[in-house]
Amino acid sequence: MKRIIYSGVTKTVLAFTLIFCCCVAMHYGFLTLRAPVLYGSTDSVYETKQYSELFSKYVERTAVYVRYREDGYELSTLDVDSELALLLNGEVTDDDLETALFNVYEPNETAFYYYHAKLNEEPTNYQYYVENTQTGAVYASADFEQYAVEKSGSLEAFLTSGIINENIYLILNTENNRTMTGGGNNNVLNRSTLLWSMDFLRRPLDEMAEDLHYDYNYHISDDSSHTSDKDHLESVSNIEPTPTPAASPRLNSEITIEEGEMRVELVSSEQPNGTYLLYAFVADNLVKDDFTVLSENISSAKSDFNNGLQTAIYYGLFSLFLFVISNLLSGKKSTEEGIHLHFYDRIFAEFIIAALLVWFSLPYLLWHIVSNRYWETSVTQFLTDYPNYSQWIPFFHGCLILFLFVSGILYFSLIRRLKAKTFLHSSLLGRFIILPLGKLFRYIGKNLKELYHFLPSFGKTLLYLGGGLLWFAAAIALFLFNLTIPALVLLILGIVICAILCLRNMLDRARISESTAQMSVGNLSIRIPTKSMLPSNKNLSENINQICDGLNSAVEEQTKSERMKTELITNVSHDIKTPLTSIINYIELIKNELPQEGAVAGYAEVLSQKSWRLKALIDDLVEASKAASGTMSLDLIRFNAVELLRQAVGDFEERLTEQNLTLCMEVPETPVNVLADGACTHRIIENMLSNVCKYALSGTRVFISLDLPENTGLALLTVKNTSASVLTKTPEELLTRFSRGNDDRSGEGSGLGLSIAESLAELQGGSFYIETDGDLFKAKLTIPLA
Amino acid sequence: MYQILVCDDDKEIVEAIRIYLSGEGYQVIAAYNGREALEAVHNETPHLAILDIMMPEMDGLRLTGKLREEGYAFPILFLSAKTEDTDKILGLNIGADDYITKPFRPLELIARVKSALRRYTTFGSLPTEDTAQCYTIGGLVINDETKEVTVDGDPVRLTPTEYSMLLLLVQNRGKVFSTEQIFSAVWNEPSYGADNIVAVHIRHIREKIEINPREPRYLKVVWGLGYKIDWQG
Repeated sequence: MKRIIYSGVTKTVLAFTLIFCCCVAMHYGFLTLRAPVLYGSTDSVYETKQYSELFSKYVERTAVYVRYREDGYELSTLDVDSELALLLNGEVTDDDLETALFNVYEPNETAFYYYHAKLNEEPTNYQYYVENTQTGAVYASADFEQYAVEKSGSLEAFLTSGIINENIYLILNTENNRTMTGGGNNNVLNRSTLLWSMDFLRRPLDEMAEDLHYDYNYHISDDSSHTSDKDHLESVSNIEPTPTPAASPRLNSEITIEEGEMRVELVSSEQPNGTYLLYAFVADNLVKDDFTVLSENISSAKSDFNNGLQTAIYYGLFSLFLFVISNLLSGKKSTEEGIHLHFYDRIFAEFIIAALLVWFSLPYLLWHIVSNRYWETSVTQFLTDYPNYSQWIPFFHGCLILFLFVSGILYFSLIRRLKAKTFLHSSLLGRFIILPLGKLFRYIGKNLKELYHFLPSFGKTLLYLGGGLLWFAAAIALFLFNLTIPALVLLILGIVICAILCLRNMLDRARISESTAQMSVGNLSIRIPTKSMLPSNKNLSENINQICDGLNSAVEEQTKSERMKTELITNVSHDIKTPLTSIINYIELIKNELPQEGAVAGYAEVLSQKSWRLKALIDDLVEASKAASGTMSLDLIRFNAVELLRQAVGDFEERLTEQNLTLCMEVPETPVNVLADGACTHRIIENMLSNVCKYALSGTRVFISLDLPENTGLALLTVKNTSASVLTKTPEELLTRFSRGNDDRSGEGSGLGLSIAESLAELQGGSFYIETDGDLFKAKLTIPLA
Repeated sequence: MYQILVCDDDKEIVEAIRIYLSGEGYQVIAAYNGREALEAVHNETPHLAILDIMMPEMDGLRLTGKLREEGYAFPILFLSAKTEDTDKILGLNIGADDYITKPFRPLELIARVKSALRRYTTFGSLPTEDTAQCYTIGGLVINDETKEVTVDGDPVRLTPTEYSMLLLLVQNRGKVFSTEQIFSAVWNEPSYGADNIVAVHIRHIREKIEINPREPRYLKVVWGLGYKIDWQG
């Protein structure tokens, strides 16, 4: 189960699912969020900002168009400007051209044709009807009358009814400055556009051209910045803007606005050019135009909101769930315990965090660049014209997936570190600042703790120090009061006391260090003389003395017990030997009485042999005990080890020959002078050779060599032989008491020989050890050189 | 008919020794503690005494001291379970002539008894005449004229090499000769290492002149230095 959960396949699937769900959630989230941007909180499409702006624009166009007509421009119906043709074919965006035409106003044919085309040539649902109430001139959409008849029976009835269904509409009367708007919302038309249009209708074109600043952005209450618009204006129009007064005194003083009622009153009107009655509205969907497109967009956004919200929430929650799971699984591996770290998990965490920050700011920067590049409105436009951009959706999705993938890699690297507890260690800040600081604080804390523990003695020291300072302060005070002699006495006394204490302390330390040095080399009888020591040093010395007492008694106890053991063995051996003497003697007597041949004679022989063996065992036992306890007294003399070796080997030559063993000796020709006990050394060599006689394989060679290994100060005697039986025991086991090469105890030998040899060798400052290599048995003895 | 005092607190040992010595034709006076032994010496006239060291009433050492104090000169042999060298030296220093450790071989005991008696009766009284041709060390006599060697009166047969080696050592009684020195003296050529021949010959000589070659009385080894001839340490 664990293996499946932690497998790479599971993780890959999980990652892809997570990215997919995130994409879906974000996609639908975008659609869901788009809707409120498009139509706010309104239910009807007519109440949306976009719709009312579009409508306002048409009203403006109407005002300008009527103005042209009033000024005598007529439709020649002849050649249409090539630029205009381009415009009409939609090659140049409406907005750019129109803004230019509006703002750099200079009455010309092209502009007139443009407005004419916009209002009358292109298929549109926008309907207008303007009547100059003074001259009676009427300017209206081509099919206005037909529409009015359809709706209200006659044109008169339609105009007087005033209200044109629930659609958006505007009725403007410049005679009495009354306006009437429909569409269910007072803010359907923005006030600046309305004022601009009213003003435009009433004034001649030339005057409008002069007041260039009565521009499209006719600001009265709008706060949006001028500068960017002006800059833009310049770049588009390529025409030097005429210097203009900072504000229009005429209009600003003349217009009062009553909030809420959308009523505009011109306080003092200067010879109005005429009074107009303007009807404008958007008819029910007759043709496909900007209004219907906007309407469709908004309704599709609305359905997106309804459908997308749920999807976005479901996928969002599922993504969150997967994200949590991913966090749990991150770094786990079925093949190993703990958290598996990748190579990039060792990159400093700060770099990863920085990369993550850069990566996350990337979309924001891109958005910022886009919105700077185009008008701020075009961002809204992008949202509005979403269907136009929908061919880019796969590209956006790709970008999104890449974005999520990279941020996932970076993010989970950090998570793995947190889980593996290597975050601090793998971050610059942690490794070079926090961890060292932590160590430092721990160190300080530990020392403080210790200080606290020893506070009593610390306090004492402070007390002494304080006392000393007070003493000298008193002396100085006396000086200040001009009591020179008492001050001097006090000062000198203080110095003398200090000197004595320091000297005393030094002497004490010297005594302690000398005595402890002797103790450390094994002289346990020595004691630190504590007489007339300073109290603290006395305390320390007494403690050391007590430790030494303890050690001494322990060592004595040990020696005593060893000696007692040896004594016990020696005494027991005496007591055994007395009856053994009788046994041996009477066996001899029996042997003498019996005939030489026969079974009983054989039995007596066995008894005789075994009783002598018993004697040998006892002797060995006593010797081993003595050697081990060190109660043997050694007579160390300087002698030639080669000579000794010859003497010992000479004694054994016949026994070796009996066993059919060939002796190969390799000794230096020059004397090898050693410092040892001759008898003791002989005993060791005797034991070694006797061991060879007992256990060497008959017919083999025995090698004896005496070497002088460099820089050891020892002579090394090696006896090598081939063992008759398989060596199953380790050298350590062979050296233990009563251990023999073969475990049957019927053979000769007490099993003490090598143990005795070892003890004796150590007693005289050398060593004895055994090495085995297959059947090769090596006994090695070292003797200190003289 | 020599009288031999045997004193041991173990009656069986005394009995066994008595049997052996009777077999050799000696008369045995038995005693079971130091006081009895002292009384026996006062009442009888033993020619030799075999004493145990650890005995009730009066131990062997004190008894020997007392006997020597009282002027008795007969040989005293210690028979003890104490095998330490220190015990042996102490025993010999206090006035004993030999030291036999328990358990002992009956034949060795008899040999030592005989040896001691012979020295006491035959040579002990005689002044040792160390002429140029005749050397006497304890019971060992070498007559260089006749090339005869006797131990306690018994002739010993030695090979020429063994004889020269023994003679060298006897002529320089108490002096330690290393194997090399012995070799060059006997073979008249320098030795070139790696040869145990001297040690082997020494062993052979010992087997011929010593009662127990492992505990030599005459031909002694000084480990690591060489060999020497001396009497009782």
